[in-house]
Amino acid sequence: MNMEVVFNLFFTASLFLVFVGTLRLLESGKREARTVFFAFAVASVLLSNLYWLAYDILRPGTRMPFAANEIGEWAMFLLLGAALHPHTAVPTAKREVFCAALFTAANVALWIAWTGEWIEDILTGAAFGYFLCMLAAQIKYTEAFPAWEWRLLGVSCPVLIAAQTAIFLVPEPMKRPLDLFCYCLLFAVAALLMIRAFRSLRNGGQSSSVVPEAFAAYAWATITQYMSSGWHYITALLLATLCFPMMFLALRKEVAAE
Amino acid sequence: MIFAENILLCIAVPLVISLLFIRGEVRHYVAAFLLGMLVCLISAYIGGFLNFVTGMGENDTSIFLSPVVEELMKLMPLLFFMVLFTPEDRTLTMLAVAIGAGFATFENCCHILTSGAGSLTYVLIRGLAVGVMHIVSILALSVWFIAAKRLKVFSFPAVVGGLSLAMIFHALYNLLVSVPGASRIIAYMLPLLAAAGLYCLSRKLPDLLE
Repeated sequence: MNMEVVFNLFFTASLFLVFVGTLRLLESGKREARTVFFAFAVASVLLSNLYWLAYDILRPGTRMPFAANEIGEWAMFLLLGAALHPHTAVPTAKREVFCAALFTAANVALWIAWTGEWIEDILTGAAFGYFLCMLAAQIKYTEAFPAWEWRLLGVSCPVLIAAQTAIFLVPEPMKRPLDLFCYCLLFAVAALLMIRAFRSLRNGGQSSSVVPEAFAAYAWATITQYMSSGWHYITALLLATLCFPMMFLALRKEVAAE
Repeated sequence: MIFAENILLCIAVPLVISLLFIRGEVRHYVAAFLLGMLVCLISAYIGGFLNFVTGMGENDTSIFLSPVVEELMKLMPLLFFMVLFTPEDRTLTMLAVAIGAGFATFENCCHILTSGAGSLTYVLIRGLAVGVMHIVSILALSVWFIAAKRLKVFSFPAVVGGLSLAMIFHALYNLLVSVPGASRIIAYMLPLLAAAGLYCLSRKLPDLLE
């Protein structure tokens, strides 16, 4: 059994626990739309993960002719995006939403360049883009990020895209350092966002901003996952795994506050 | 080779005639059941077309593409009815069950005519697995729509997200059932477990799902 399967099993187990926890939260009588959306999103990613595991065990070493597990991921992004339901927030954050859409488009172009799977990458990008746009609007609306953090993201995202694009163009000896730089940037921002969300959860940050912070940490962990391979991918998967309990705790905190 | 249209006609005619003599919810149920069978036939056409276009082969098409096509096709009448007639929650659930049951019945009929009905055990397993799976996936979708409507979050992402959830559940079943052995047994149990889960959920969260 390879490490990816082991980590996916761990991911599946933790998702199951988060799903049970979310159901119990619903059972307690606190029926926020956000919690219901989150429960369905967790169910989607849980099924997607189970599909991936089943495929890897039943048909090892073969490429999926059509990655049906990605449907579960699209569902998760759409439902998580809808869970933020900041439709009232979007008009107040036009610039942020536009930047999120632009960043998603650049990501989709890179995915296509790496995999060559046009249709799947565009559809994944559409769902992920919706999630990122809603998240950006929600962060702005709740003022979860201070100005310096927006600036940091504003610099990190274009630098990351430029560096990833440059890897295609530069001569061979330059590829490795650039690749290393991208990984450093990806994991540094992921660590920053996760620590921030964790501290907010622990120190009793504002209940309205805890949810977007935790969701932002997950969004970046996903970006890191999609831009990584090998051990880096497994580490990013581990980060994404940690983000789910964090999102659940953030939701619970918000529900309790309301 | 079977003539699916002829089978559909043969099963549908008595049901269509029965529609003339029944009223109320039973009439709705039978009509939705017929619709489910029709949707199954159209899904088979689309599946055959995709098989031809993509060249994936019959087996891979049924494992990877059929769940997408079938769930999408089952959603159409449900969504159409929901948006146009804004039915009561109970009616919507009933229609979803009828569409799923019609779909599963017609699929089972065609399958039995192709592979034979000699083994009672196999026929029972087929009925309990595929039959329940089609009902559970669309029932879960209708429950999701009702919850989304009640919480006033019924939107495009909510519909597509719910649909994708039904698709991945169906895809997981098809993948597991495609390989003999333990995975097939798990696949046969999956719809029953999901049905039990939905039942428990409706008991635990009655005000959300009733």
